[in-house]
Amino acid sequence: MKAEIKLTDVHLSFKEYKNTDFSIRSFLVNKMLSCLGKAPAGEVDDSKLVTLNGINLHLESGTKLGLVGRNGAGKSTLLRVMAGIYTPTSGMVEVQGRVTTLINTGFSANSNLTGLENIKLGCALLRIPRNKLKSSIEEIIDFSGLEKSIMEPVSTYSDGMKARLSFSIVTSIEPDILLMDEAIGAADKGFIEKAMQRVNKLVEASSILVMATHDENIMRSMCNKVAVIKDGKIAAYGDTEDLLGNSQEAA
Amino acid sequence: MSSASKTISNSSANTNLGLVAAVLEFIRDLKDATLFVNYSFLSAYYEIKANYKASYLGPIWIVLSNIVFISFISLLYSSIFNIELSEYVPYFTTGYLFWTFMVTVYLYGSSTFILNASSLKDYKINPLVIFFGMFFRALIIFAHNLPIILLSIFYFKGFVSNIPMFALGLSINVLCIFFMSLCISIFSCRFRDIYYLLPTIFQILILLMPILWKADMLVGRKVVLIEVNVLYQLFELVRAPLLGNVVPTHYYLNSVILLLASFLFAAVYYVRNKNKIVFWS
Repeated sequence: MKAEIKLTDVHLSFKEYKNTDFSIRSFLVNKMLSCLGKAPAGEVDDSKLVTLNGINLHLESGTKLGLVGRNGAGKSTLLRVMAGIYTPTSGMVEVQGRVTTLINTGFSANSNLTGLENIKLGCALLRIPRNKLKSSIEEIIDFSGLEKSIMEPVSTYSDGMKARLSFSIVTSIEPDILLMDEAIGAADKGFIEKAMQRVNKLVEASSILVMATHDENIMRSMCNKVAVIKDGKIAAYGDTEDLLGNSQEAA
Repeated sequence: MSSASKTISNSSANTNLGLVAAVLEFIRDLKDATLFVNYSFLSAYYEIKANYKASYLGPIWIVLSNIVFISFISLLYSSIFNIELSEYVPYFTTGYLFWTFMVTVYLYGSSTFILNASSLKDYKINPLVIFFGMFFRALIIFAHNLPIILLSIFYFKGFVSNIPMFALGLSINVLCIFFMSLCISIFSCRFRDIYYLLPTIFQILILLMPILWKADMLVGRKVVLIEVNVLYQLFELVRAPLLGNVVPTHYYLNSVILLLASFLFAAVYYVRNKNKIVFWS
């Protein structure tokens, strides 16, 4: 199936959500102030709350896009908008294809549970059919290389082990669109190489990869396009080799 | 979570939908969430398992602590109210344990989106899937308590329960609690004070509801306390059939009206706010 992501003039502002603290007191105080025609108390500068500011992007099958930019530039927010996690304040997001995300620790987030329990939860969330469940679980454990600690609680895992677990779960279903942030960077070199091979195989099968990372090596080997994000806008977009020099300056 | 179809998201969606459109979308989302019932159930099961991980008796503690509490309260209040123990124990056990289920759902619900913020932010997930997980957790805990209810009735009163009417009453209650607690979950995600306010409200409500005391103790104008209390009438649909008592017809009527109202309110409130939950959490 043809995968596609199309963003048209996407804006996202946290103003509505961040300009009040989440208490009834501030809600009532601000209601009273607005009745008196005064500005709400403790209002934050709007410009600081705009995370995406007119993003236009059209990605088709085979695109492996790397997002670069300094912390807070809007990379992860853009991934979340593409995934449908955040609804944009204005603009349109059209996504064709099965999307999976690997943001933060994602599928290994429940640290009270064991690795195996997190895998089973992940499989249930990805709706892996019952007849494929056993083989999928075995395959995930095998790919993650966590056989020895799979019965241990995830709270005892290092960040790298969590990254291994999450990546193995997310890519076990061959998504059409894979959205990742730098969480994978916590894994060791050997696993990252294995992950790159898997991602390349997925993208060959007409998928889209969008990845936010600060690691130039990962970017070079995984992505064929790069978008530089600055102040919620795409400051530059082009082939990886052409842009990586510029992105270094931006980052 | 992933979806195979084309998804479109923009700002104009959901904010100003009419009642019918909101109900249809709510039903669609509920149906979508039932596709992930396996996930919701597993997460509930694992959560309970993890809670009692280091303990020797595990979830049996749920049962034990309730038995101890009920025994002490029953001994004390049956003598204060001068009621036979065989009458008071099944009455209090049924009322208290069902009340506990209700409170568990509301209290768990009030923190469910806040505690699952990372799930909501890390992958696309229908908030109802998370809500179902919380609801299952409360149901599993209630399932641990149900044998205490049935045993106390069977031991002290014999086989008096009207099971079909109990099943009907339980269904109406569970649905009503589901819709009302969904609203509270979203509201409490937006206004964090609710999470701290709710336990206080329930502490007062348990004293106002005929759980420790019996409704027939009210005389004269005080009867108004139960005649206008729809929550009590809803509650009675579960307790009365179990104890072999007949429920007045207007209790059913009022409860069904409450169910419909809570469904409609939940549909509109959920659909209008579902995209905001992730920002609030």
